[in-house]
Amino acid sequence: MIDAYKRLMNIEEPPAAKTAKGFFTDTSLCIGCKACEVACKQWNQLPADGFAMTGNSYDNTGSLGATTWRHVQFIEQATANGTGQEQRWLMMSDVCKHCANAACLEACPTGALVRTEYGTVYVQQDICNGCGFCIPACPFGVIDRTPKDGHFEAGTAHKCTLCYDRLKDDMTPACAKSCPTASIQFGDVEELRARARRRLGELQARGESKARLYGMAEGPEAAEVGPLHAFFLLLDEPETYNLPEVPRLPRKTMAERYGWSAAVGVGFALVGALVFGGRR
Amino acid sequence: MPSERLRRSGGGYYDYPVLRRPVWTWEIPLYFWLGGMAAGAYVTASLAQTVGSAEDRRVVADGYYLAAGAIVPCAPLLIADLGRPERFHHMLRIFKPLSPMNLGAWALAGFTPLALARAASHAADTGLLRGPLRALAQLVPRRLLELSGSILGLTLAGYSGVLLGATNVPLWAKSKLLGGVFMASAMSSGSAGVTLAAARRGAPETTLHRLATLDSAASLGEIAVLTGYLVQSGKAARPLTTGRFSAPFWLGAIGAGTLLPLLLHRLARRRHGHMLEFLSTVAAVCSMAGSLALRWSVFEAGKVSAEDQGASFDLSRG
Amino acid sequence: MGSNMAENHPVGFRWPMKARERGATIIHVDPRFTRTSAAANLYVPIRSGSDIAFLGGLINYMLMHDKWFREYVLAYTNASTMVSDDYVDAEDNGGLFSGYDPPSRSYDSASWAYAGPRDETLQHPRCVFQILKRHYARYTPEMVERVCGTPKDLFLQVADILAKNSGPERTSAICYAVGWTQQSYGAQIIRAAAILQLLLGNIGRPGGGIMALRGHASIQGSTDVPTLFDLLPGYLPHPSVSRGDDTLEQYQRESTVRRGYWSNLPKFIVSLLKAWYGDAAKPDNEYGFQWVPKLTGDHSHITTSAAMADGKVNGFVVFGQNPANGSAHSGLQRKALTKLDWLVAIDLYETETAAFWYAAPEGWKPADIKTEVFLLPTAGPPEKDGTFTNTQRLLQFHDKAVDPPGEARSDLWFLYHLGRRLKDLYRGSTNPRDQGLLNLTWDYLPQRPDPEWRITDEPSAEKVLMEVNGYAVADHEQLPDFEHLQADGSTACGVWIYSGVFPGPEKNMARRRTRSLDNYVNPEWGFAWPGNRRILYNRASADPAGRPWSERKKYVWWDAAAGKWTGKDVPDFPLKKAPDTAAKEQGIGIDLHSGSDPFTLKADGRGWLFAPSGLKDGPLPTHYEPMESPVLNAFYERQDSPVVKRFERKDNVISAPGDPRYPYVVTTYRVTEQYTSGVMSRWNGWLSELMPEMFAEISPELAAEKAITNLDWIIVSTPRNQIECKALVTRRMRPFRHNGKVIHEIGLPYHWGYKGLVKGAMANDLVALSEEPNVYIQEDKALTCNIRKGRLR
Repeated sequence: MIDAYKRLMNIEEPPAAKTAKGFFTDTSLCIGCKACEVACKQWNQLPADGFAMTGNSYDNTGSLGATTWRHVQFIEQATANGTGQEQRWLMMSDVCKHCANAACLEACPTGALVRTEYGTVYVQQDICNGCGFCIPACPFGVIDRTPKDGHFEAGTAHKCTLCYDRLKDDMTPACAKSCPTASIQFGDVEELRARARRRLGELQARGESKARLYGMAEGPEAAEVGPLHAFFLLLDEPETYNLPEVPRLPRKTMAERYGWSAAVGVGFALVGALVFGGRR
Repeated sequence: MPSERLRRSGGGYYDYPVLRRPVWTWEIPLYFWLGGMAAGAYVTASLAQTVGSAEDRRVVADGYYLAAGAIVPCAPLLIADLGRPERFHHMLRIFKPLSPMNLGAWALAGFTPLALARAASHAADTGLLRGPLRALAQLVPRRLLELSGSILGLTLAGYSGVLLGATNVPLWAKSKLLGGVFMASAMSSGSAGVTLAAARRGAPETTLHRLATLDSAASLGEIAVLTGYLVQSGKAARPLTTGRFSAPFWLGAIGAGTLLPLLLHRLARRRHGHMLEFLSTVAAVCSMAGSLALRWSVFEAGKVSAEDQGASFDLSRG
Repeated sequence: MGSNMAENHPVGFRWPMKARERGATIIHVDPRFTRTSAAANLYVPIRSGSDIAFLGGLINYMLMHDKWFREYVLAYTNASTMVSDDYVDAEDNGGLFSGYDPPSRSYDSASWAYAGPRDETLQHPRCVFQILKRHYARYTPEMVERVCGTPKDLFLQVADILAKNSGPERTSAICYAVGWTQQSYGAQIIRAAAILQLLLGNIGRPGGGIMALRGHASIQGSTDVPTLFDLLPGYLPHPSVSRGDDTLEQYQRESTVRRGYWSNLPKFIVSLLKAWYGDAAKPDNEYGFQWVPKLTGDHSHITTSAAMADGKVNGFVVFGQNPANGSAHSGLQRKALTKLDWLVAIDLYETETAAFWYAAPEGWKPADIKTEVFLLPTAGPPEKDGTFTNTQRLLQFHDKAVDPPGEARSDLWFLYHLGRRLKDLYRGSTNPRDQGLLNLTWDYLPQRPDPEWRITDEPSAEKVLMEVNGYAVADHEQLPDFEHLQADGSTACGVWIYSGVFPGPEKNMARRRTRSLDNYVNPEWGFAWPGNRRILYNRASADPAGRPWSERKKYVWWDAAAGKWTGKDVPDFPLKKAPDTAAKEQGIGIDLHSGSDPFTLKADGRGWLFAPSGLKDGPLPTHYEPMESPVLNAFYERQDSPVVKRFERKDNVISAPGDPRYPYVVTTYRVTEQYTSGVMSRWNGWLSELMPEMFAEISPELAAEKAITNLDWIIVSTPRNQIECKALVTRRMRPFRHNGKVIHEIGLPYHWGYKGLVKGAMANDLVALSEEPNVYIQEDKALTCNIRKGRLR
């Protein structure tokens, strides 16, 4: 009977854990070519999201979403006097962070969101029933649901899979493979972290005072969501890239929330007991 | 948008939201209201069964009918809101209490049959049920159901605000009190529902006065938690307290939902007969309607809050 | 400079990025701050159309501050050569060189010729070096700031970096693309860079040189094996009536240069004719020379379009080309199409050109169009075998991966079967004009069709490549290289510069993908022409004695013990010619060069600072304004190029300099996300969503002046046409100052048209018809316009 239940609910044994994989996205090497966006869409056969110019520099994609899993940001910075000398154009390929403590995964009521044997966060498309809870749970605004009446995988949650299918065949994820300048680097997370620390040192020695890593265990941003398996080298403050300084993990305050809720409930019950029980 | 954007360090990425907008629709606040009210009615009725006078017990037990009636549409509402309704059973695929939605699914799954059974047993007691069904219903272990049902009911009433708070939506998550707010709303709308039934069915005055006391206490409690919630939310509460949803919130949730019932119950303290029944009825209806307005306005304003870049940064910086 | 490499060669740009990470300095000189500028160490703004002023400024700087590489310049350039007494420089003649004929708008270059012995002291007033100095004397940093709008200190920074990073121990490279070529003096801009690099000793050396970043994946191949009207394969001149090429002998006499490697031209032309006409090409019929049609004038694209617009052209076949929105003055191009009797479009999609008869913005009704239009589906790159020849002159063979769908066929299939059918049609004709067609060797089908593919009559690309390589006529043995070509009809060779790519049966060198772990030249990856040389003129990487200028940068050097040149690359020099070999006065070809004359294709074996011949617009680059300019030439009375071909037509009005109705400079360009006229990108949703709409980039200052905010619709107008598009207001565009006056510049990408998933206005509608005198290209990098807020309808 347990087997029948498991079959009904699509429950299987998870595969044995392997070395954790991830992305180190070094934005100091990004040339904004968007090959990552196209490669991701092509590999995963995601639909185009609409043809409208945003007017926000060269970013017509806008944000990550259910059918956009890589998104290149463009931030034009110039000093007020505009001589063009102090001019920067920051470019950054945003992606799902595959958090060590993933808010989406913790929120998921069906167990559709799982941690794979590579340490990545993955939505099992045959389990997800589109409840939508993961969507506002994610502090980075990554995961989203396709429209219920749409053509592409309607009504379920979608995000970067870190090319789980390619990983299973020992291949590099599509975005990393297509990145011409190796801004997106794929590999064992530990090795990537060592590389990132070295790289940060190099940049700081060159005078890039605003360079910083985002998503390392020691960073303030990892306080709740933990280190990010897809982490970044940024050239400005996180909020410039719409990354929260301290992304919040809902689980951290859950007990307190339930506590207040229970207190109110118990309070009502006590008052009720007094009201009905006390004789006047 | 200004014709040029001289971006300095600091400030977000254009004005794009940090979060993705919640995809839930009207079924959810409606479910929160009905589920909460059912739980509140059940708890109120069970309190009376446990410690109340015989008179109170008889009248207040009608709350079980309200609980059963309100709980029946809940699961269909939730199922309809799913992206893949045909996979609703996946909600019970695992037991993961740390996910408020999973906890709520189990609580609803548990509470629904209990509410229906207890209502059936009440129907058996009052003669509404006859024949073999009545005999069956009388087998229901009342005390057990009242206790377990109340626990599950309180879970049902209390988890919904925690669920919304267990997101990164500033309006829902900045304050830790939304769970308490929804619990208070559930209890007060539930006891109000019992009061409405009692007033319509000609309950004794003492019962009505007791119910009024309970309702008033619930309203006061609700005001207290709501105040704390608004204070803690600070600027994050703006989509609720100003703009499109400010009228349903202030006039509906606060005015009709808490202040008006308090006033009416106050007025009803020295009243009797038809006036008492009338005031109790209006107060109850206001309270119940206000509870719906509260769920709805907080829910919709939350979606606006989700797209407020500044509020998200504020939440993150703590 | 003249390039946006990061955006238009993003995959190739990984190499400059790696160099940057290893300490190289990337300088980007451009009117716009682009994605290349963002990756560069230094961004330098320059007004469109003033590149020669900037480069001239650098030349002047190097000369004035003695930063030039003396030994290199003396030994390897024509700095010491003397020039004719009759020569008058533009500086002394209001901007015109001697020999200008106003009625024909052309130069007679006789007065630019060399005269007399060399002056190794470089002091004689008529030696090239002194002429060069005098010519660029006024190109001071102040002048650069006045004319280019580049702040003086920035310019000096560039000069300083360049100077410090050149010389024996270090080299600098200049990369350019279409930003330079698509101007009315594009060839001269490149020449200016060549002069600079020669002065700095950067030519023929690793990390140096001038890299032409071509505009398409295989357009290098399109000039090597040309689709250009005035060339035969391998840059042989096309026989032409005006040059008097009545016979093969006359052609050879006219085209062959006695000195230098071009002395071998007769071998190239005869081998080419043998390849084309096989056994029918015999000594007694001039190897079929008379069957090759001769040029009777300018048959270039733009001239032909103008003739087409006047109803003088009957038919038009377009292979993967889209003039209806991709060519200059595209409104006129579309009008021209309506005058044709027939049009054949061979493409992957129904392009703007193929659809002009019902979809053009002019609103023509099909019933009014007499042109019969054929649209034939073609195969895309993975659907056929073939080669790409890239910017590095590198041939890489690619294999077919899938069959094209349905009736789509490769260009090779189409041409082969067209030729076959035409031969069948004309079989038996005795008309002399038809003999060339009938005698063409046309045996390109493989022995057996490849069973893997559905299409059984596909010609073999490898067979074509084998003919391109060349073979001995007697036994059809593949030739090892072009040194084996003969002028007596015993060899056949389709493209002499490619010879060596297929030196034996089954030896397709273009197929090789072997990385060399110990040689950054990677000589076993593909095949680079000529003869797998990766850097041209690499003899210059060693000093006159054959020793590398720098141990760290050694590339090719003389191995005295072995008696030959050796190194990391194939030496671009006779292998066994010792460095101290004297020039043989009685010899031919490169025997007339000494062992230290690296530039074997030049008559004197030297790099030309001064070009006595070869370019129609002057021996030295000099600053002119573009044909349309908001300002007057600050250097000379002569405003613009005296030899650019202007098409004086009612439908091709060009605004006068400083016309207040068109006060802004407009430049056109590409972005990464879309591709040229959009045929290869605007049918693809993933690309189209990245850059969905046509837009104009304008500075905040100009936007404020015209009360335009970001995303407003604006109308851009030139005397040719008006278009509407959205405004993208950005700090990356900036106003320039010319002589103190503010000049606004706007930018227009040209990717949009009226077919495809996303549509938009066509920037080429605004561009005028004109032809640069040497290569007939249009000027679309600098024209003038006006803008206003609003929409056309």
